[in-house]
Amino acid sequence: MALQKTQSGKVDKRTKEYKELVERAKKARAAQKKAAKKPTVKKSTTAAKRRADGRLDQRTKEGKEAAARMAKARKAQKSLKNRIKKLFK
Amino acid sequence: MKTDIKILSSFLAAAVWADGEYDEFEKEFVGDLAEELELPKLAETLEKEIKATEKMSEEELANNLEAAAKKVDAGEKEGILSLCLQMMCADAFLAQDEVDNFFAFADILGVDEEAASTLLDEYVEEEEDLIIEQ
Repeated sequence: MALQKTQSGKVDKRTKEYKELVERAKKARAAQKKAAKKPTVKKSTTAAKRRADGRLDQRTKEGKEAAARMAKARKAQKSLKNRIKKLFK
Repeated sequence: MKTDIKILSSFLAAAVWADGEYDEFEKEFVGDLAEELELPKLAETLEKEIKATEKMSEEELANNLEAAAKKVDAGEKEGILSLCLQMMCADAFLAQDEVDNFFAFADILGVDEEAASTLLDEYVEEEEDLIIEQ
């Protein structure tokens, strides 16, 4: 499901979907910490599924086009450059 | 950038390990990153790290990252975290397990939850084409 945007075109972070993703991740980490488990990076099942069901396939549009737009914006809007400037002072 | 290229590559390789494939979008991102950071050997170093990590178990990867995190320059922890996020989202999708991994990376790097959360919010706001999956 695509994230809702505000009228200005910005992502509306008040949407349920995004907030729920973040809250679930925070709760899961809190539970791990409580169980004294060290943080682990896990295999992404959705990334594999994305490829398997064709959402990232050349024949489908959504994923490929969005990724291409992001790469284009990264260059045109210098978003990567700006982030690097901000985070690697 | 003060953090060693091999250490940066360990984190990017872990993002690839989680994703399961070093795809064209990630390669393009690494190309852009190498240019911006002026690290011409980044792609080569990363490919070596990917090979070294691909057979690792979850626990081995955790130990590897824990050791690498100790060598990250203190002022670049959030930067490395941001690069892990961008690597994971290079295919334009952000799903639950990627958000979980993002917070795991934050924890490993010693970036506190609120700072990590702000970084994620800002990234999501800026990347208008990002597709959020439930």
